[in-house]
Order: sequence, then structure tokens, then C-alpha cells
Amino acid sequence: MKILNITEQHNANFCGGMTSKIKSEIASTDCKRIEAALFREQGINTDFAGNKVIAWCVKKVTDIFTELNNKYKLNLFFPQNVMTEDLRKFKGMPENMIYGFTNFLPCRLYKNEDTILPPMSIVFNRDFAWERLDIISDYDYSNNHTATDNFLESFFHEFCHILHEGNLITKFGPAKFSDKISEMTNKKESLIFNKKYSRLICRQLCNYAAENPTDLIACDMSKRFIKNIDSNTFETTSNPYKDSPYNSFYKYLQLFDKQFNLDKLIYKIYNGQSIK
Amino acid sequence: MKIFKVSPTFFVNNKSGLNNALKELKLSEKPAIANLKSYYATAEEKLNDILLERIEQKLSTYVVKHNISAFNSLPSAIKKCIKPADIGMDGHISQSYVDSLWDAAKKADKPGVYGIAPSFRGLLKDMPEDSVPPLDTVADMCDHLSDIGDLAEHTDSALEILPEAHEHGMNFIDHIIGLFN
Repeated sequence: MKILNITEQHNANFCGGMTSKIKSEIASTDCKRIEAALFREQGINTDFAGNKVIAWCVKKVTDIFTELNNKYKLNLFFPQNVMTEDLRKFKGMPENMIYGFTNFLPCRLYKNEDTILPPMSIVFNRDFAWERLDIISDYDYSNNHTATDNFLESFFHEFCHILHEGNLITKFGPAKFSDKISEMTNKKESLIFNKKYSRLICRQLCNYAAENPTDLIACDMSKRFIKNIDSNTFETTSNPYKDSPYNSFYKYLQLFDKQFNLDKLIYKIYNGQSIK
Repeated sequence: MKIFKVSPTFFVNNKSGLNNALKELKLSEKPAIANLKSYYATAEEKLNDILLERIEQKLSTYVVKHNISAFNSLPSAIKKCIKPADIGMDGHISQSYVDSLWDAAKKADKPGVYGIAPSFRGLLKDMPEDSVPPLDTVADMCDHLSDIGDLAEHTDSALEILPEAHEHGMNFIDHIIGLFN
């Protein structure tokens, strides 16, 4: 019988990609320096509340997006704000249980709050077990909850919500975008969506993608990004948008394929078309 | 004919247009958010789910029931530190991990942390091979009995079933443990 002690048990699994080299990079991360660099380079307002894991991962995803923009001229959007908060202060937000969330419309997240949370903002949960991110990522993947086991999955996921939001808002303009995104995130609509497509989505992508239309896009996109980066160097290996429903030429390609499939559903949601 | 080579996302990306559109968005009365949850929110949720799954699959619930009871007796400062990833697929929790949390919380004078940590069933691979106790010990049986409360009453009921257990050629202790599982 192989005997492991607890330290080995918690460090032995590197399937999520967080190697000891990355761990030591994270340990020496200077959050304030990253906050200043992200504002200077991409105009993103950030507050990591001293959380080195979040700071390192956000910087890494931003760097990957920048590289993709330069290499493949993708012009990917960046969030306007990235914050780290105690989510218990937000009304209706479950305590200590989520990686984070993306806010699409300017709003007050809890009653009588003076501050208005701006759109295209990502809020990460201060109290999530970030120090065990790789283990949790592995576990979520092993249960088909997420589409990849990469520890950057949750960061790509939130950034992909921003890409979807950017696409819809530039396509439809502010008023129509508000209606579209409210419909997509509406609980009743999400239930109908889940009932209709969950079998297809869970089988071909992951369970979380069946939550609502926006999460289908975020899960699929993040999988494509992760698939197209080198897991050791984090350098991009190919264009994640190539042959994908996010490519503007996809609508012409699908003319030749009459059968319904997941990519066609993704194309419709990404472009704000009706899926009823 | 001149053919323009365009970026695949040329038609949808327009940063100045985006900034203008964002400025024009009106304050929404209802928030529109997308939140990414991890598979299990809390350790408690995962333990309960494991218990239900094992009952459904007619598997032994001894370890998970024991650990749920021990988990519930933990002070909140320590409960918060035990994450879903610390719980094995069959409800095991590493005793050495809980002990290290307990020691740290004790040093930090967290409320409710005194004496020693409650006992958890950990993974066999966490323990030295020679210290792994057999499952059906008297201590295990007492754990069960103390969970239920009235030791005398259950000893009586245990004695009542002795002839029945004997008749079926079963191991007495196994039978009693089976009754409380």
C-alpha cells in the first residue's frame, strides 16, 4: 500500500497546470505592481485586495489576450474593472461559494448601495479557496462541471463573458443590448434553455455550460482559448477563433450544413439571435 | 477584382464604439450578472451529497455519517477552512489536516477551539500502515452509540438482538453497526 502524507496529497496533483514554478511565481507576485501595469497597458481598473493568485492569473489571461490580439489581429475586448470583494455584502449572492461573477449592466448589486457597479466588470470572490485552485479545477473537471481542468479556466470564463458582452453591445447598441442581456440572464429563460439544450451541452461540453446562454458561450470560448495555449509557457499556439462560431465567416460556412449542432446554437447566442 | 483580407472579428470589434455604447447604458433596476460557481459550494454541501449518493447506491454510509457529525461539531472558524476539495469521494477527511487547522485556530484564540479536534475518518493512505485501526472495533461502535445519545438504551437493544444475530451466524459487532448505519 502506498502511504502518502497530507502535504504530498495536496501538492501531488498538477493536472490543473499549477506547477511548482507557477506557485513560486505567484508567491513572489506584487499585486500593486500588477494593478498599475494593467491600468497603464490596458486601461483596466483593478483591485486584487492583496490576493496574489487572482492578480497573477488576471495578468496572465490579459497577457494571453494581448498576444492573441497582436498575433492574429483579433481585437479582443478587456474588462473595464476587475475587483476582489467579500461577496457576502452583495444581496442574494451565495456566501463563500463562487469563483466570481461578471456584471453586464450598470446597477446597484444590493439594496440602498450608493456605489453603482459598472458594466463589463468582473468581481472575484475574496473568500474562495484560491490557494487550492488547481485541486478544485481538477475536481470540477472530473465531475464534468467545467470543460477543462486548467486552473486558469475560471479566469478565462469571466473574461469570455466580457468578450460576449462586447460583441453584443457593439452589434446592437445600448438599448437593445440591455434587453438582450436581461433576457439571457433571466432565471425563467435560463430554465427553458436548460430544459431544451442541457443534454446536448452536457454531453458535448460540460454541465455548467447548460446553466444559461451566457455560460454556454463562456465555457465554450474558454475551452477554445485553453486548447490553443501551451500549458507550460502559456504562449498561444494557434488562433482560437479559427473554424469557430465566433468567426464572422461562420455564417457562410454553416449554409452548407443544414443539420443543427452545438456550434450553430453557440453562433446564435453569441450574435444575439433568437434560440426559441 | 480586389479581395480584402479582413480579420475574422473585424465586423464586431470597434473599441471607440464600445466605449460610447457603455457610457449610454442606463442604470438597470435588476442586476444582469453571470456567476461562476464551483461544483460544490461548501464542504457541508459535498458531505451531504456524498451521503445521499451512498444511500441511493446502497453503499456503507459509516464514514460519511461519522464525518458529517464531526464536521458539525467543529467551531465555525475551522469549518470555514475545510473546502470541498479536502473531502474524498467517499467522505474521507484527513485527520492530520483537521489537526493542523485546530492547532492554528487554538494558537489564534479562535472561539470554541479548546482541547483536541474531533475525530475524523481520513484516507488510509494518510496514515502509517501499522496504525490503521480495523473498522469494526469497540471504539467505532461507541462512536455510533454516542452519536445517538442514550448508551444504556442501545446496549439493551443490542443485547436483545444477540440471539437473532447468533442464529444467523453473523458477527455480533457487524450486526450492531449495521443497525445504526
